[in-house]
Amino acid sequence: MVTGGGDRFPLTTREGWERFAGDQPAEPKLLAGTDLELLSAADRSAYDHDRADYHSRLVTVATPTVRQVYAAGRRLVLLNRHQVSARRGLIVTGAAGTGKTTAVTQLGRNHELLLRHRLGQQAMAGRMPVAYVTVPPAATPKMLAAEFARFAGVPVNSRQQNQADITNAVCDVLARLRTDLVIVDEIHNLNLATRVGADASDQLKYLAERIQATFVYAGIDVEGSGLFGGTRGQQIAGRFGVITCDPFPYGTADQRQQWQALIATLEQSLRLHRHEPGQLLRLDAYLHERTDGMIGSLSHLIRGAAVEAVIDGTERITRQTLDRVGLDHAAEAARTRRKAAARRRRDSAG
Amino acid sequence: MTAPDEPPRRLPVPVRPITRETIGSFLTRLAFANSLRVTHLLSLAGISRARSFTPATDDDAGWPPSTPARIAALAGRPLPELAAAIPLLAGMTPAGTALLRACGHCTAAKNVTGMVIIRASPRDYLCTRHQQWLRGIHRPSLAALPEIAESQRRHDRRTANVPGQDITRIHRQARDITGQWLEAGWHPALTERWQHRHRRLAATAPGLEVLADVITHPEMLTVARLLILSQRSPGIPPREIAGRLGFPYPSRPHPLDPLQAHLSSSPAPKETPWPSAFPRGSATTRTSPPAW
Repeated sequence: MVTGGGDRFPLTTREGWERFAGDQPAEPKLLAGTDLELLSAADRSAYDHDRADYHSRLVTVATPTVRQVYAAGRRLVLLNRHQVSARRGLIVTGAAGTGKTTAVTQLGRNHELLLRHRLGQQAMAGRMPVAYVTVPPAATPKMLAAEFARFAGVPVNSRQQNQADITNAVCDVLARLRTDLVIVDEIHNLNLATRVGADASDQLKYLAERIQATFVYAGIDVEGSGLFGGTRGQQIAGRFGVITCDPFPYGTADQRQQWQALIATLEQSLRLHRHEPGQLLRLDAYLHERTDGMIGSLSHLIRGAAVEAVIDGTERITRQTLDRVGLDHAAEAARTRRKAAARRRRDSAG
Repeated sequence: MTAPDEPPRRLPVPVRPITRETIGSFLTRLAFANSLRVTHLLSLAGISRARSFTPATDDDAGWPPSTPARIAALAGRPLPELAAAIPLLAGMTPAGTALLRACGHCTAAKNVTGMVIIRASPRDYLCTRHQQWLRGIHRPSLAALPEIAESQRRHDRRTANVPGQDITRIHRQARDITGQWLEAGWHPALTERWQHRHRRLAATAPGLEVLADVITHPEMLTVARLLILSQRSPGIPPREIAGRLGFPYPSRPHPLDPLQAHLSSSPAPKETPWPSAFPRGSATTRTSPPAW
């Protein structure tokens, strides 16, 4: 590759996306105790660095939502293949940290890998099956088109090119590259209450008509953002299915089992020397209470604790390790609220 | 926009360079494939002379030193790979070589559907694979005249080691001779052959104006080989000329016959004008002229 690796490119560029789709992180081998003692200081440092790096990513768990988004997205791509207009789409909505972006990016990654496997590397050379863009804050139609251009790598000269020029270039290039899945993330950044936001929404609809692809939108509380309101929204409501990402509940036995299965999957991917399997599973109630059932927070908590365990040499995740890892404000605030409510209940009962 | 010293991003739609393609043709195709204006692409490559830039442009005027690397980055191909196809990027600017539209069938076979301009070699008159005339504006199919492609193949085989500049000069002289033969009707049998060829060509492409270069091409190549031969061993007998051209060339040719005029004015023979031009092993063992 002439322009170097995709390391300097974010996920919202073709190079970054290709790197993400083809990325297969090596799983570090856990050395036996005797082998570990034979390592020199430099080797031990490199060994620990590899494991810390591995734990910083860990694994992507195929939660029921991820599976549902993949199944629905894959079905729509196949259904839309011969559709000349009025193609159906998918909206993935939910609160922050519920795994929307993970679900839609995994859909895109699986779609791309499936094509790479089917067509082979050579046939994929002139193709870009997936486009992944995020809606910038206060997006205008031109900004939206420029985001698509940025992903594809079409150079944009904002001074010399108007909105129609950029849109036409984007549509032509995506058609040539045979893009058949377009993922638009952070759709909640479209403010439909403003004129510019409504125009940007129209631009998105226009792009969906021009580009022969299945469009998948992801964003926070999309239904409440007014995307389905008015005449414009009616068309979206009539064409797009909605999948809601919710926090994992912990009420019934079934729900607890699902939560435990999720923890078990994460736990078995840990590469820590003194961590006993099942140690984390026993903390399931604590983990749910800390994370409020948000998979994003859970992943952050366990990954953070694992990295901590490698760095401080304890090589196991305990409640104390988990306590030391700070979480996002939403999860911590929910925990504080729950604690206060529990205290109130205890006081009233007493 | 990327910083001037940073290599630009690879453009999304890749374009394959064609052998001997001009830089203007390649960059124009790259811009069109990626829905870019050519001027925009030139600015990304750091080329400042956008106004005079056309697909036929094949020089590096107005290029900063970083331009070749930037072109390679934009095309998403290593510079050596581009340089292997595009003479200018390899530092070669062969003077006097004509520009030519590449055979559309050959380029289409490589998934290139746009017009491709290449630097013609002196032997590039037609595509022998697709029987397509390549010189000039009118480029008729030669499917009805298979002898033209066959004569070109034979000529290429027999003069494979003659340097390009010599081929250019000899072809110019040969074309001059056949042109005069055609215009003045020096040899009725030859004129009749050319008229017959013209009728066959016109039947496949009605309305096509007379392409003298096309219908006289096999004889032009034969005359060219006679001129090469005469430089090594002057005094080619008329029956040898008649045998090679395949028509009753007079045994006592007119002194003003253009071929005779050239043969009689050809310079004194050199020891080894084109030693490698002869068939293998023939230069030392052969007593009669080689059978070109």
